[in-house]
Amino acid sequence: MLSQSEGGQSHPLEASLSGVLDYPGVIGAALIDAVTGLVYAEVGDCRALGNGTELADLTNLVTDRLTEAGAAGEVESVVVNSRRYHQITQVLPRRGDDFLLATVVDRAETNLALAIRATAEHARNVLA
Amino acid sequence: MNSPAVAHGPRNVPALLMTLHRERFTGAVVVSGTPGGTLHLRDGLVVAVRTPASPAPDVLLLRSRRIAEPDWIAAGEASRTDGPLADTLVALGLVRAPELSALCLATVFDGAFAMSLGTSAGWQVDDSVPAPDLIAEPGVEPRRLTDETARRMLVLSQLWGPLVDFAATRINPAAQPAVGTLPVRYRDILLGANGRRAPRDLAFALGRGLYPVMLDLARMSARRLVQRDAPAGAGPTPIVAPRDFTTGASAPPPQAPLPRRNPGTHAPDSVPGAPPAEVPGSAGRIPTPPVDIGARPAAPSGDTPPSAPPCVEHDLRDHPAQGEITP
Amino acid sequence: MNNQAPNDAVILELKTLRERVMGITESVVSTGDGLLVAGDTVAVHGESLAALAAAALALGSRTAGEAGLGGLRDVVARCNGGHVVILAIGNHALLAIVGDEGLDIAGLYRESPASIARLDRILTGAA
Repeated sequence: MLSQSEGGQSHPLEASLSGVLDYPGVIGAALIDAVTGLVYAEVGDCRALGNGTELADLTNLVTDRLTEAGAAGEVESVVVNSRRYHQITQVLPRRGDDFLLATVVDRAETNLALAIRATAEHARNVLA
Repeated sequence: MNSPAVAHGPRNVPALLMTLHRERFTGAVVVSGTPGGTLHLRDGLVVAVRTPASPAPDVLLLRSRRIAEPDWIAAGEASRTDGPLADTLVALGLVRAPELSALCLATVFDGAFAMSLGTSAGWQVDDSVPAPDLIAEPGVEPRRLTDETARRMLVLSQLWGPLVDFAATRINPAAQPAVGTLPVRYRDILLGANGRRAPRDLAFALGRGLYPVMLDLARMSARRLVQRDAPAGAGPTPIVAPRDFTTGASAPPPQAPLPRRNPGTHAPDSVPGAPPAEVPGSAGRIPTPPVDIGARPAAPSGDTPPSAPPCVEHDLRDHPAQGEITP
Repeated sequence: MNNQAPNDAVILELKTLRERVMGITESVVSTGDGLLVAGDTVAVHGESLAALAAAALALGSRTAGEAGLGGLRDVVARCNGGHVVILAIGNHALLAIVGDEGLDIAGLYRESPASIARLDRILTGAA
């Protein structure tokens, strides 16, 4: 992913994201546009997230297939597990196109259930 | 530090932006063309793009009903004394700072993409143009902006085909889309698509970015939810009562038709001295938005306008207007 | 909207203008005294817009005269949700344009003189 800010870490987007790094095991986080995949901000080490458009495409694909299959309601989160990381993508619904909060969590340092709860809580804080 | 950008004569807007980035330029690049637009820079970074081709942050906030119109007006008034509009919107609790920042950043990329779909006839670098109220801070590096724009054009042209055609296509819903099983975004697009709206018009009506709307349209087209063929230009337009995206109310029901009259057959007296609009240069001035009309070159138009039929005499006589007043 | 035959040439001209200028959503041609000639409309009530636009143009013209500013060029209403632009067609008719927030005003001023001229010919030719 691209690093967006050159100077000034007081940027409100990065400030709102950086709190998520305080949760145990979270090593990186990014705020992404759910439709375009544009990366609004990222903090920590996001290399394991891939790029924003892939994440948005994946989430869209899951949403489309689920609604086509008749699932009611919107997708809340998408979790991809690799050997070393959990990659947790929370959908942040809003008036307007949704945002995604994507986090990389070190599997060795936390369990999945805890990480999902922690990032969901943080997701609510970003736009609440 | 190089000499001023204009002296170098960069060959296109992206090259110009690179130069201005190196010079840490603060000001505006006013691009003329169809439709043209203005890129605002601060310290060489692009902080805002304003163009008729894509919605600005205020349109996104209001049309999506993220902020209600009375609240918006109140914030505008408060910001006159309380400081920048963005801070006021956040202080009043109308939008959270991260969301507003993201939105402003999105419009920079969306505006650049939208302008690249049109044709630019030239540009002017002007450091006296003030930046708009809502900007993306700290701004976007020109390289990232042009890379992302190129990527977006590639993605869409792979999904849809030629983008100039796509941008001009009036979108119609497919015959009977199964609306029930669709994501809300698609449903809203289908509600807004009335055969008159091009993607840009849908973006404004829905309060969404142009690129995300086109991306959704391309995906919807693949699922045969929308018709992608441009309708023929002629013929009366379908009259329906669509959702009013500003107020949420539906259009007022048509009342009994008022009488019609064919101008020229009756001399009206209620427009005293209204001059022909095409006569410029009179001293009269009505305040208009600050748009530099004279600087815009004539649009190189691909299609010629249809020539007016010589006579439509039969029209109103064959079909006399209801309740027509005759002298 | 109604069962009257539209003035096809006028409507065609209005559609052409809408397709050439970004942001135009609807438009009507009205007589100077506010009677609808034809409209390219979908959401607005054409007759009402025609009547109000004629009143606004007349009022603008009188205001300009009162202020000693000479002849009126056009009336532009800037609104939170878009624009209304009213242009005179000759001395006896007018064109009212409704546009969204992004209406390309420069484009409108570039394209409208030719449209106005054609509309004028259509309307006077029908007399």
